[in-house]
Amino acid sequence: MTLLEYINSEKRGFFLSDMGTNGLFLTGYKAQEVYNDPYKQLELAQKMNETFETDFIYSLCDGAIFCETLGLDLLKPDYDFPSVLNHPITDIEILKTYKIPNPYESGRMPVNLKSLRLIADNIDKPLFVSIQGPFTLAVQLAGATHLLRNIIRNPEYVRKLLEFTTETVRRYAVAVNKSGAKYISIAEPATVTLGHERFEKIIVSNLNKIYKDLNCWKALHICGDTSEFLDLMLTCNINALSLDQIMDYGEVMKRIPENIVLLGNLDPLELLYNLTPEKIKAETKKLLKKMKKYDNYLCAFGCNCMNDTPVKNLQAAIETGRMLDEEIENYGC
Amino acid sequence: MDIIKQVSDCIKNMNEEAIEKLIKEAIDIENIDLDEIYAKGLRHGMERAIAAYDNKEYDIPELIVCADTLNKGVKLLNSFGNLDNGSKEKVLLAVVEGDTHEIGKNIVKIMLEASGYNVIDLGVNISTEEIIYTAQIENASIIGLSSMMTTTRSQMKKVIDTINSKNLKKRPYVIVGGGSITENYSKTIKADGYASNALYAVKLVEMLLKGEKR
Repeated sequence: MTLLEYINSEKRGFFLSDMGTNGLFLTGYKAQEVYNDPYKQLELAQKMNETFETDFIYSLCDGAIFCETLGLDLLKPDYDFPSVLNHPITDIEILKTYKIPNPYESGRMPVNLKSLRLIADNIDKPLFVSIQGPFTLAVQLAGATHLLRNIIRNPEYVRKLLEFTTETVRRYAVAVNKSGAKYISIAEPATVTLGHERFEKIIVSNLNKIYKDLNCWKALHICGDTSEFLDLMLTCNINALSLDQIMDYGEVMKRIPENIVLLGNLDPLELLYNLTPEKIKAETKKLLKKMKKYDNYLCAFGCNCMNDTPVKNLQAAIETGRMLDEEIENYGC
Repeated sequence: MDIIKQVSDCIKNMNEEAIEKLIKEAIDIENIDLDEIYAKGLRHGMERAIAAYDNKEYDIPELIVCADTLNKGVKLLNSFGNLDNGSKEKVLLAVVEGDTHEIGKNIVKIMLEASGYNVIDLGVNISTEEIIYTAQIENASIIGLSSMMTTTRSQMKKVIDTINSKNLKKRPYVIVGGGSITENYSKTIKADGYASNALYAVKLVEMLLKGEKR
């Protein structure tokens, strides 16, 4: 079954509720406890599945897995994503001292794969996994300013670094796929720092090297204003596209082919974090009504949610997103 | 071609290799005043680079290399003597404690320096105490705080509350931005301003220092 067929397999809306680290508050576990214990990952996934009845299942998102495996220093908050403290790969000679990780042997990667397998085997829903993209990983390894400067100053270094990160992501994504992931989304938020020409030249081909080896539903997520290179995102070998809440989906949808699912773009901050469940329901219905004529629309959040977003707010959005078609039809706005 | 125009073009065209030779020529051969080289050459070139970014002729990589060229030129000028570069006021930038996302802060820094501000960049993951201590020591007029994560944005409130509790003679303005920040949130924590992008951050600093926004 394709993703498009799946989201049209019942006469109701489907919802992808990938939201970030919110599940930690449901279990009381700290992020590192969950990352390092496949059974806690499973417990968290089950808790999320009970609390937020939805159409996909997830592990705790692990955006720093590559940097951790490569030995970078990380800041590790108890209830949020880890983030990188240093950016050591500043030239080709340093890059040569790094080895592309083996997902089955290196660092915590095998633990993650075991977690995914457990979740896929124990919860009967498509397993969604978000993986950091090669350019965003390169930004973390080299530092954003340093990498962007060297796109002009030292393109060979940037090319080699992206070769390294693309292969790192590709190997891991293939392993994640083999561990039971049904739906893999590559997140490339750092690419919004590039213009159209550079996105075409250095992003698209690297992403496609990863997508071509995946045998699952494939998506691309980029935050920020992507209107300038939306056409290029669509040249990637993907089944779904996820964009930021700042994008006008009424307009974006006109540019999306019928066979590509567009998902999003409820606002995690201004809507889900700041408003009441009643207002969230009303806004979600408005979005659904606007998108109702499109079979290839999937309701989802525009980006990661704040980790302390009230559970009732998230539930309000998800319940509304999964309403019957006729309920949306009858909603007057 | 006018040597000052060449210096300006050098910045706009990211010609980092030529900037030192041009500045030396302007000083040694043309005998041009250091401040004039700065204002009409270096800074003018950077203003053109920012305009090019604003109208999408340039992307962020070009802007960074223009700023590198500018900084190389300023460093050389300073080696020739005290540069009264018309620096407006001091702006202290920091990513708050617990957060390491720096690209937004770095772009704001480039824009502010190009606009003539003296920027003190504390970096990422900086404690409230260090931010306030440095702002006082450096007599900063503005503190610009960035936070990408919601779990760390409460650090901004801590900075503002601590500053307010200190009864300072010259209280710096505190402006905020970053992925987890909205205009509403900035009002909630009583920040003096919110910037959704780097270009607006410069305008906000200008407005605050002119007393046009409070």
